[in-house]
Amino acid sequence: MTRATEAAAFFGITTTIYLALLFQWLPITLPETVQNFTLPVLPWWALVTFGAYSLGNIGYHVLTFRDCPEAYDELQVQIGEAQRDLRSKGMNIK
Amino acid sequence: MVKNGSRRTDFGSHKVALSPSLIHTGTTGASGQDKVVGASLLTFSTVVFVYYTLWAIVMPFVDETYFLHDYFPRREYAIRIPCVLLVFGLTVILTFLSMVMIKSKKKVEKKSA
Repeated sequence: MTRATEAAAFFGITTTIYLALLFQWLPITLPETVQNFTLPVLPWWALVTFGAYSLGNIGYHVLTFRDCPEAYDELQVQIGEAQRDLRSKGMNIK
Repeated sequence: MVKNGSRRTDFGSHKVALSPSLIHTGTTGASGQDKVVGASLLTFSTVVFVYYTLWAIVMPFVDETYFLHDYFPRREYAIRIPCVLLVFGLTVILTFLSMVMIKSKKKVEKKSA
């Protein structure tokens, strides 16, 4: 199953169960508060949770961003080598 | 990011001189200001999530006389506020998008005229 199919399946199943409970298609009776307030507020809660998760994920990765000094050193060595190689072949590099 | 397995150690006949540019003296991690921005984003999103979850999911089941109810507005606003924010946000984004599309279409018309 591809990622897209998996995501679509998860979405579809969750939506079906939610709608079934919301419009009372099943012979299940939920407590009054749950049926009248919690179920209608769940999509909004999901939206707020998704927004908070996205923002928090970005903030966390900005906070813990690493500079990768090993990659920097390796890159500098390779830059120096490339410069020397081109200079030896006659190119003018500052 | 360059992996260690591809590190070249044979530089041929070139001598690798140790110039100041090859000595890494910087600090690792994000800069101070970036850290503040990241931390504030993280705490803000956590506070929003906890407050909204308490308000919309937990409070309806808590006894009406409990003191915590004083810290939350009326329950209908738990639906009204995200709804208004969503409508407002979508309006701003789609207006911006449509203005960009109109401008680019005008540019194409101007060029072909």
